[in-house]
Amino acid sequence: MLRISNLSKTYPNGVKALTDVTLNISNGMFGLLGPNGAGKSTLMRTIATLQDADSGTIMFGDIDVAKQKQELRKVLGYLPQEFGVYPKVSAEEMLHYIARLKGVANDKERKELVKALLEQVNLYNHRNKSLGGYSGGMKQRFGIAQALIGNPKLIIVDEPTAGLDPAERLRFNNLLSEIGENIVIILSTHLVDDVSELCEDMAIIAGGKVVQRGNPEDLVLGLENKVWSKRVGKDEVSRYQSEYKLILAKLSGGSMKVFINSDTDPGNGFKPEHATLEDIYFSNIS
Amino acid sequence: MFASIFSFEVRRLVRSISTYIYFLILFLVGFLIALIAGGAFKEANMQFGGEKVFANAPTIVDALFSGIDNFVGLIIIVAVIGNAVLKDFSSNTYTMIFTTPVSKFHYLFGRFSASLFICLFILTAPAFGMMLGYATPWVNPDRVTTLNMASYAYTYLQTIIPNTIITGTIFFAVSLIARDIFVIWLSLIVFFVARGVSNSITSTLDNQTLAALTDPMGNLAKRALSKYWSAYEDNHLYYKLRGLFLANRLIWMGLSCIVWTIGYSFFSFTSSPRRLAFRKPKLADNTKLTFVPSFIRSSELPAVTRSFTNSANLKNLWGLSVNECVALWRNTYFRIIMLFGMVLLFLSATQLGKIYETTVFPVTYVIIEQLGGTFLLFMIIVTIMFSGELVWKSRDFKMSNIVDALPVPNWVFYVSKIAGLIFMQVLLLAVIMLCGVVVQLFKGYTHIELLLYVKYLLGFRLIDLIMLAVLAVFVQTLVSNKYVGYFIIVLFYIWNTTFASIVLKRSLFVFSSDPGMVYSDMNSFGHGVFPYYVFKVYWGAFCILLAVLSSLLWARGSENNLRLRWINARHKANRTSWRVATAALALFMAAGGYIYFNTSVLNTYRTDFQQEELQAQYEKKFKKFEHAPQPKITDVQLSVDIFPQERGLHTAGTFVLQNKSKFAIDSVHVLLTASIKVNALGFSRPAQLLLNDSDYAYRIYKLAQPLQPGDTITLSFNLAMETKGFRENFSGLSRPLYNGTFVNNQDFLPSIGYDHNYELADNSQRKKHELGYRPTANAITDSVQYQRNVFTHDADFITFDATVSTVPDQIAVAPGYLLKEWTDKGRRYFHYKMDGKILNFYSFLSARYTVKKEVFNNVSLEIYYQTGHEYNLNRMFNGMKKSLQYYTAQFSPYQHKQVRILEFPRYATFAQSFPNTIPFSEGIGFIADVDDSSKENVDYPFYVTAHEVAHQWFAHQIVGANVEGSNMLSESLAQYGSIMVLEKEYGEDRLRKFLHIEMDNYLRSRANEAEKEKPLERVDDGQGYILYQKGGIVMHAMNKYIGEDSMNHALRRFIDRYAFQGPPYPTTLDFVAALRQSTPDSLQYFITDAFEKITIYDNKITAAKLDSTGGKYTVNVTVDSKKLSADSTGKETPVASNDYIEIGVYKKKNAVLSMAMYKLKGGETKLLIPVSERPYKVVIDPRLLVIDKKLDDNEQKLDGGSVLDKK
Repeated sequence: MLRISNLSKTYPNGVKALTDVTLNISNGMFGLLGPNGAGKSTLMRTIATLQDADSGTIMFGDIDVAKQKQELRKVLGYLPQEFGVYPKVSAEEMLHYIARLKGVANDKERKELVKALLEQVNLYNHRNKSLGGYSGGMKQRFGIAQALIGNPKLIIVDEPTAGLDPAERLRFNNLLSEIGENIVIILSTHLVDDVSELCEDMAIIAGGKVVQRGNPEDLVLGLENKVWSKRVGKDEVSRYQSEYKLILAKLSGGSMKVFINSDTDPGNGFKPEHATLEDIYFSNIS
Repeated sequence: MFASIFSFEVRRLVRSISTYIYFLILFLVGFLIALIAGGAFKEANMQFGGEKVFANAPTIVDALFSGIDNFVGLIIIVAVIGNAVLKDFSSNTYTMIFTTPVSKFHYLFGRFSASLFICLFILTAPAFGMMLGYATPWVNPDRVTTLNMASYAYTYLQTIIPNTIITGTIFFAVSLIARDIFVIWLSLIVFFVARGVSNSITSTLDNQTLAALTDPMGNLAKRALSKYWSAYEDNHLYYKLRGLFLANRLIWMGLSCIVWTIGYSFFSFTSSPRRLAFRKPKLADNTKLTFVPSFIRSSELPAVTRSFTNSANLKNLWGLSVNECVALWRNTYFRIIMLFGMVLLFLSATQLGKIYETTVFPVTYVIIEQLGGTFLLFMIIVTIMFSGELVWKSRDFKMSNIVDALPVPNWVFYVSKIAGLIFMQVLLLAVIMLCGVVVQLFKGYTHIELLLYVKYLLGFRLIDLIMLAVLAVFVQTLVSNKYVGYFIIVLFYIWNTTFASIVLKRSLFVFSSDPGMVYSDMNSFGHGVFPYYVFKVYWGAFCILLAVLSSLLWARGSENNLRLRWINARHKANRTSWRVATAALALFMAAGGYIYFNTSVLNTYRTDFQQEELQAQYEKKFKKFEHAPQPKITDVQLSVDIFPQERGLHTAGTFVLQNKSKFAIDSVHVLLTASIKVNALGFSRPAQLLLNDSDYAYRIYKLAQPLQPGDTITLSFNLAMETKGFRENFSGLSRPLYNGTFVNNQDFLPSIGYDHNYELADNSQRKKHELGYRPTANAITDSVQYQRNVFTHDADFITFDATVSTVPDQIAVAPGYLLKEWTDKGRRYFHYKMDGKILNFYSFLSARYTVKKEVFNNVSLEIYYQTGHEYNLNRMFNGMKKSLQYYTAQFSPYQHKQVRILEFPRYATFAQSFPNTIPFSEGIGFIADVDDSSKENVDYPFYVTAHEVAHQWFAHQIVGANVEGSNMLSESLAQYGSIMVLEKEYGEDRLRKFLHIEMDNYLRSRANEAEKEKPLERVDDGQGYILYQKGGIVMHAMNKYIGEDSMNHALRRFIDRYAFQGPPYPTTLDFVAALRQSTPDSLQYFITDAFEKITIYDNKITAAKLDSTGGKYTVNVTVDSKKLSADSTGKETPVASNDYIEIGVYKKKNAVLSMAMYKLKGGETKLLIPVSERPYKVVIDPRLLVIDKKLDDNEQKLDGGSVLDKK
């Protein structure tokens, strides 16, 4: 159980990254959905001990993250949003290095572990290649492998699918879906599909605040029968925006389609639409 | 297009805060240096260019202004210009900009010229800082003259602007070719070091023109223009942009155009940043898209045990350290650095310990010091650079997101980085060792002391480097930008190594300081080791403190806010670290206290200023006694016990004092050294201690019965010199040493009467301490001073007897002949007695000597030396023989039956002549590698020996009165003797090389004269360049002008008249009179010019042609002679002349066809010189008989002859 209470962080340049964030996250895959710049990575890094909040606490079980960073690191698996590679170091060498730093001191055990991990993430054939030559998907698989070392109780996966092509994303999510058991996994993403595919619990974060929280299906159910759409001209969008609760306006087949939120039938040519998680997302961040 | 790129870039830089920070830094450096040069720090004596040169004289302004910009400024140039294009790569804007239709030239030239423009603005800062510094009321008004904008403007226009263009171009081109910021900084190191090495290699006399042209900064060109400038000229002249200086500027501006073009051609818009260019094409991901359940379940992974105990941490530490080392070893740049370093080392090995442009043997310590010295700056820069690289590595490679979240304590990361750096430093030191051994073997030298390499490099050099690494990592931990870190470290390093000791004075406040340590083959690291390590423990503890702080504040993740890191550091989990920090602090304080106890309680520490004040007070207190009649020492009986291991010395003895004055003496003034312990001191007659000033150990005894003229009294004493603890600064001689003791009587024995020599002599210091002007020496006409000789005010000639004891494995030596040697109670005794009368100036030496003896004309020749230093014994023996032979035949008989040369440690590099005893530093001569096949080498072991043997005549037979000029009677005459011996042994050709070096030395030194240059006849004790260099040249010339027979006849007469005579002592007036007697009227002018005036010539050959009609050769030569008379400030005025100047015509390089004196009027003279064979060149004053300001225009080759033939 991860308890985040009243977490706030303001950067020296005045950007408020987190404002009074409170979240309780239990075992299983938790999705943290939000647009770029919403504060997701700040929250992830703060949980991962790489940053300090101005106020508020994070408790993981009995561990007070801010004060017992070392303790948390012992149970943490972290796949950062962005990571580089050292030149001239192969994937296998790097896994050994990280495993050793994660306390796997026995050479033989470490060897077996690294081998198993490489096989599981399907990188065994490329184990001697430099990480610099990996494709985005392979690199993220390597990332998940290193995060899994040391039997972590808390796994943080920060925007893992950003920058992957659709096929790579699919493969990666397949992999991710297999991990979750009796541990806390937090997946942060700006892709609604990632959350709807993988998570049973989620929160939407925007502008540094938690704006929506719950089970994705429950959230969608709550919006069922309240979403209406209509094709309109491009110059009409602003009028619709002022008259209705606009969720989003998007191009569809070359012309504009607006989606609005309304408890009753708005008439005026609007057609009912099935609610999706995307509608939840956009109605919360707009 | 160009205009918009230029103005955009300028606007960007003008808005950038770093521009102003750079400006401020240069401004402050200029300000501080101006304050120091202007004497604002009362206790800091840092003078640039002699005392009479103002701190803001044009030459000094030029040196400081361009110096600041050439070093600190160069870093800024690299930072600004090196980044002008590179920033598009680092900020990834290149993809946008390179796809616009801008032309490559407009883009590159716009960026370059804009950043150059900003640099030129930033680089004006030192000028403003200096102007302000000189204008503050804190500077000494005597040192500063009115503000002269022109001197700043000249420097800016002639030096700063071209240098900025040159260096800017070089580093801009490097940035275009390398496209990697690291390589640019690397090239800066290469530039710095290569400049230093090339300057040292081209620093010989013959290479001056080459050096002036090859120095990209133009410094050496300016130095070539001004090297003989007097203080007057330094104060009034600007460097003119002509001659070598102009050529230098043109060459380098031209070269920079080429370099710019090369850089330009290497660059194209399809270029990518270098480090990213290593990226290989991506592997394609070929896994199937369909859902395949993988086994990825943490529970199903092989079970592993994890441990986070301290032993696991240590194991991790080892692993990480190995990782860092391996990474460094694989680092391409590091390998390039190592290779470059090796090249550098081999180059510098060609310059081993040059004295008189002659190298020394590659003895291990010389190699280590030479190569280590060259490499030091290099290692420092590399340490600073890689400390930044290592600390920032995981962040630079974006690995910190993973690595920093791992359960590894900070200290493990920290120590692994330090371990990596130490590994690198050890590798670099190993490179020194490897290159050193290769150099030694290559030179055919096989006595390789591997252990000494290890001790020297790892035991001493490494410690400082580690401390620097700790400091650098500490700074890099605190800052939020690597380059800011570099800048802070470099600034601190410059502060710490140059200014800190001046401003803060005590080494306790100078990071990583130590008292100094000098290795000597005789005394090894000697007594320097213990204090050295005490200081290193002190700073080591401080470094541990820094290390703990670094590891506590270690930047992890993206948090670089120092306040938050500090809060984290204070968590309970870090208790152990804080305990270590506390212990380190305690050790730091304890060691500091111990150092203070040693340097300031057991010993007295005085700043220069306090030392001067002490001397000033001495004069104020006791000057009134200067003319109180005092008895003179006539007999000395001593028993001296030397304790090398304790570094102590006990002495008991008696002086017989005789009243040689016409007055009864009622009180005797006995002066001792303050640090000497007096066990007993008394007179053979009742006397009362009237005054005992312990600060100065100045005692006045009142005799119950006055000592009547002619009467004697015996002073007996029992004294002890003890060495307690250690001092602030390493000191070598004048106290017993473990091996190689060399002390003289002035170090520990009493003297009688007020000693004028202890007064403050420097008149600017006297002013500072409120003392009146004092002439540098007594006037030559002051006949009262004829009663004393110039060396010992309290004795004339004495009889001497001494028993010296030492430890059994050492030989102790004092002047005189060994009467008896015995061992008693584990000590070895030597009884020496002098047969004749000697000056009251004698020495005691003790060391584990090997002795080699020869007998020559009934004189026993002995050399006491350190085993292993046999190289030049034969040259020294030869020197003794040839000089004894010449001096005995030409001057007078040798007064002793023995000449002994005794080696002493290289803490000082001189040789000194005591009666029949010549202590000779191991630093000069013993390891000289004279190449007899080279015409350029000077056999200085031979020459120095001849000089010291000559002192047995000139000093020990003839001694001058205590007035100005008298030192000439010992030094210039000894120089004459040795030059004659050198000429007889090696011939005129090789002597010419020696004289050339001496003349250059004289002309350079007179330019830096602090007081006033005196004519040879009135030379001061401290004016070595007149005594040795000018004196030698003049005496040699006299010999040639009036002939060897007349010259030596004059000397013989002079010796005959004055040798071993007590008062009144002769002066140079007597000597010059003796010379005049042997000189024909036609040459009397030369004596006047050479001895009584300061005369300099500017002779040259303006045209020379060969006429070879009819098989007869005639040299048609136009010579230009100019005679100048200089005043004491160095101001020269042309004077009319009609002087004898020698002109020689040569067949080949050195074969004389014609050599004759010509009487030349000032100005041009045309001469026809018939010769018998086809000549090669014509030279004016080939034997360097007159002092000539410019020697390189004194000869011309005669190659026009063949053209004439055909006509």
